[in-house]
Amino acid sequence: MSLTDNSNLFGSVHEDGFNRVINHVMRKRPSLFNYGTQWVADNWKERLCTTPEVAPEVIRHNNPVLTIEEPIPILGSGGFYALNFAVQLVKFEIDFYSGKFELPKELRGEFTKQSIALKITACAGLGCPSKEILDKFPPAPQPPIVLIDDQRKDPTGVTPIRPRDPIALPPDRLTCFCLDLYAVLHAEITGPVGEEALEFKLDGLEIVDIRPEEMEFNIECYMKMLMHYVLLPRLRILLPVLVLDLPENLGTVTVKASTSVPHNPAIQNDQVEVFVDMEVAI
Amino acid sequence: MEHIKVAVSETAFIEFFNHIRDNLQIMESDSADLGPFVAGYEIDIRLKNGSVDLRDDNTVRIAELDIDPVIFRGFIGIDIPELCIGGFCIIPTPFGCLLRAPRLCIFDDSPDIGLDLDLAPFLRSEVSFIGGLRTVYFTDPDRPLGMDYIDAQSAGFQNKWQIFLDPESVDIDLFDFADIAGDLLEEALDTAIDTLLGFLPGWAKDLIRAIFGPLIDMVRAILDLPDDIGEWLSDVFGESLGLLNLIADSVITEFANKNSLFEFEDPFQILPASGGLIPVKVPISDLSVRVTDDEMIAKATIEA
Repeated sequence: MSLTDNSNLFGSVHEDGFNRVINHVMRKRPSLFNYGTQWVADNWKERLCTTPEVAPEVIRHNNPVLTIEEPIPILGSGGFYALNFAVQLVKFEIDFYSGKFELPKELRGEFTKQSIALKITACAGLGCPSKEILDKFPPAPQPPIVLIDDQRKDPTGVTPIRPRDPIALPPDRLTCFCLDLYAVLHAEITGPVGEEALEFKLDGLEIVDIRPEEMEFNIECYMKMLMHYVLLPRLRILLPVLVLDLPENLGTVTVKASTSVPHNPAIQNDQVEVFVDMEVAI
Repeated sequence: MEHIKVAVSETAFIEFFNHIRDNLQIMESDSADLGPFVAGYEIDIRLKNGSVDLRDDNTVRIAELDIDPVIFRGFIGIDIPELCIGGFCIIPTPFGCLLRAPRLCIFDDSPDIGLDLDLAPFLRSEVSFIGGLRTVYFTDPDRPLGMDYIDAQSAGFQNKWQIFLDPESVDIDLFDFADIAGDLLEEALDTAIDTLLGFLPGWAKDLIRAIFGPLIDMVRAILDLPDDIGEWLSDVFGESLGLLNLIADSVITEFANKNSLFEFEDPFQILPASGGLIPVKVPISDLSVRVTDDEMIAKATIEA
């Protein structure tokens, strides 16, 4: 059986190759996978939860290792104080059907033909300041609770302070935790003929070993909504119709996804397979 | 282990071949001043028939592709140095010449002889070609030592994977080109000279031939052509036209060596540079191309 039995052109990428590509992106665009405050960025090798593997050329070309985010405000502090934090995607692996991941039992039924499994390890940490830091940065002055009707002209003695940027309380280090997250997806072709797009649909998601179960459910729910409403819609890929000019005014070659196969792309044999038709015209 | 596979079906090859064959038109014209003569040509060549076949021995065969010259016209303009006879003194006197022989000059035009050779009806020929596909990893010798792949890309020194067509045999059947062209040239020369001398009375033609011999020989001498122009052309183009094959072989080899069918840079770009961030590139190794009866398959490995 030939690779091109069902189309003019055929292309495939094995999951091992895909994972190597992901690894290259993680090492060469680390700022897509590591987020934290300026305090973390100032000494990322020591302060991130997991020191990322960064390609030397990233440093050589002065590219950032993490995307700098505002510290997390301490609610009710009047915007005075905030906490340093970091969130990292430290591992991202893909597994095309027939699969090699040891999926959690909750997802095993979801991983069927044409499915894609993801294994993501994410770490996060919050910088909890020491007692010395708390002494150094006192709470913003608040009016005391007045228990009885006080006749003094200004019983609180508090002068309002102008709003300013919150102070990110410097911790000694971040207190980190890591979670393993598994997700199962499948691809669908949607849209009218000529404007077909490839979309990914979430079939299931599971975070490993979080207790209590209700907390796990809530976090998983949030992650599902994040993927359903934010991440996956952004991964909608318009199926390309490429028109290439031939030299010497010899016409054009048009390549587009074949519609004569049941699944295109097909997720099978541990790889993603694409079937493409070609038309040559003057 | 290879991670990437790309296959092109034989059907796609045939469709592509047919399209190129039916639409390719080679039109050229040029002329040059070569001292005693000027030469020019005008060609309009199309392709017909032929077939392409992928073969299990890792080769591609293009068979019996007809080269069909709609126009294949050559022009030679010969400028012969002016020759004058007569004008000498028959009756000299102490006071000068009393009677002179009539003076007659020929070849005073430029060019004197114009030959228009229409070779199109005789040049229909047939090409067969067998070639394998070869992969090459190109490293630019001018790339400065220590330059990283990002700077090399900006400076145009990037490494490349290339796929070349490796000719294994080329066969061109050019039907009796030398004899036909030689006959045409000889005939055209005789006609042109007769026309050139047509204004002369018979006795004058005889006189000129007596003095200079057959003008065709003279023109040949000027052009440095031997007696048998057909044989000369045959020699020029090689014994039994072997030189044509050699030339075609050399041209195709040269073409194949200098022009890759397909190439891409290594490492291969996945994400472009953006907002000061470096591009994300992935190193590719072990590129190989294999041809079977049904398709051509390229495979490669993505390096860690």
